[in-house]
Amino acid sequence: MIDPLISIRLPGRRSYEPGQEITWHYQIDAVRPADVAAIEASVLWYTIGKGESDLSVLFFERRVPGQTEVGDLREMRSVRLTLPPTPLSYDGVLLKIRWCARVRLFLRSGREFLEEQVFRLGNVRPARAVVGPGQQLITVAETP
Amino acid sequence: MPKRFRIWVKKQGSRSTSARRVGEWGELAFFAIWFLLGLASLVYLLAAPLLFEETVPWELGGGRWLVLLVVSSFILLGGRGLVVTLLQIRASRERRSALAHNAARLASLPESDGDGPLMPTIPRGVNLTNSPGIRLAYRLPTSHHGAWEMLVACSFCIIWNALTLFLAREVWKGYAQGHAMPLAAVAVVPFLAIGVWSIRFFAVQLSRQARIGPTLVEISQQPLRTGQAFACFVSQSGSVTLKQFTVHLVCEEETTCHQGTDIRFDRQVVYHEEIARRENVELRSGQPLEIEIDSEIPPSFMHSFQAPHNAVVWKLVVRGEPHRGPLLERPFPIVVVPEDAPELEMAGTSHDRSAD
Repeated sequence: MIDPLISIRLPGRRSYEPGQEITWHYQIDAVRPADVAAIEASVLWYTIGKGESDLSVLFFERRVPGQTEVGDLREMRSVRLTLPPTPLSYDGVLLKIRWCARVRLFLRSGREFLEEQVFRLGNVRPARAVVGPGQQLITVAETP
Repeated sequence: MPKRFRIWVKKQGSRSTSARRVGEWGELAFFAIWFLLGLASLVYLLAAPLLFEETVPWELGGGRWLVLLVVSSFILLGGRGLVVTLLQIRASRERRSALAHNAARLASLPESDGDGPLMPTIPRGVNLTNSPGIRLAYRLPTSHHGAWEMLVACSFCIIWNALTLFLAREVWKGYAQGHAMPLAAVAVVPFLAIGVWSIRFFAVQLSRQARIGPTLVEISQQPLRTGQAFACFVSQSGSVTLKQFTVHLVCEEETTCHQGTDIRFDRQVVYHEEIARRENVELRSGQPLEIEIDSEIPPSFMHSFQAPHNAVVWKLVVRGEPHRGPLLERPFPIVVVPEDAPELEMAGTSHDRSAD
C-alpha cells in the first residue's frame, strides 16, 4: 500500500508581507475516503534552533467525516486568511522562526501523515553572531 | 528514522531520538500506575477498618496526616500527568495550540471583543511605559536589580554569622564548664571563615552601591520601530572615577531548553553598536554625568520577540569601567516592532505622553 499524497499549494513565490491576504489550497490523494479519520489544516509559526520549540497557530481547522463534513474530504479545499503583522520570519543564530501551511492526515488505521510548505513573512535580514559589550573577539593565531 | 524501541536515547527539550509513540505510551503507563497506586492506597486506608476487624480504626492525627498527604499527592500528580499525556497523545501540537488560543480568547472576553492582543509575541511590560521621563517621554526600568543582590548578601551575612556565633558560644561554654568538644571546635573554623567572607562580600556590595549611584535612562518613544531614529538621555550619579563610560544598543537572542532536570539558558548577541563613549569620567556627588544621544534602530532587523522558550531582546546597556573594583553594567530593555506594524497599545501607556 502506498502512502497517501498530501498536496499544498501556496500562491506566488511563498514570500508575503504582513497584513497580506492569501488563499492557499490543499488536497488529499491516493487514499480511500473510508480510510480517512480526520484532516487538520493549519497555518502557523514555529521556532527551531537551540531552545525548545515554540509554536502558535494563526489558522486551524479539523475536518472529521460524518461530524464536520458530509462530502469527500479528499477534494481540493481553499483557505483564505490575512497574515498577521508579527512575528516575521527570522534566520537567527540560536533560533529561527518559520511560517508554514501544514496539513495532517489521520487514517482509521491509526497512521498519521504530515505535509507542510514553508513560506516567508516579511523581509528581515538574517542575523549573525557579533561581539557583545565588553566581550573580546577571540581569534586563533595562525601557525607558521 | 528512530527505531521503535531503544534502551538509551538522547534527549534535549522536547526533541528525542526515541520513537515518539513508545515514549508517549510509556509516560501514560507511568502516570497511570502512579495514579492507581495512590487511589488503591487511599481506598485501603479508608476501607480497611471496616473490612478487617483487627485493623486500628481510622483517625486523623499523628502520622496519618502524612500518609494521607503522600497518597493524595500520588493521586493528584498521577491524575494530572495522565490527563496531560492523554491530551498530548490524542491531539496534534497545532490542535493543542488552537485550543489554548480559544481558551485565552474566552478568558479575555470581559476586557476586549475577544480577539486578544494583536501582536502576542511582542512583549508588553507594564513597567516599560508607566514611568514618565523628565527630559524625554519615558524613563526605562532596568532589568538589573542591585537592591536584591544587596538584600540577599545582607540576609545571608546576618543569618550565617548568627549561626556561627551560636556555635562558637556553645563550644566556649563547653570549655568553660570543663567538657571540651574538640571536634565541634574544629567545625567552627570553616563556619567562621565563611562568616568573614560574607561580611567582606556584603561590605563590597555596600561600598559599590554607595560609590556607583543610580543610572537613569530616558527614551523619546516606546515601542520603537525598525529603521526609526530615537533620542536617548542617560544620567549616571555616584562618587567614583571611571576609566570609560559607554552606552550600547544591543539585540540578543535568548533560548531555554530542558536537559533532564536542568534548564539550560543560551544567549547570543546579534546586533551591537556603541552609541556613546566618555573617557576618564569623574563622578562627584550632586554632579551626575549626563549624556544626550541620537541613534537609530537598524532597518530590516528582527523586532522584539517573546515566546515561552525563545526570545529576541533589544536593550540599551550602560557600562562603566572603574580604575579598580567591579564593573558597572546595567541593561535597560526596549521594545522594537516592525517598521510597518500597526500601533501597539502598551500596558500603562498614555497617548498624550509622547507629544510632550
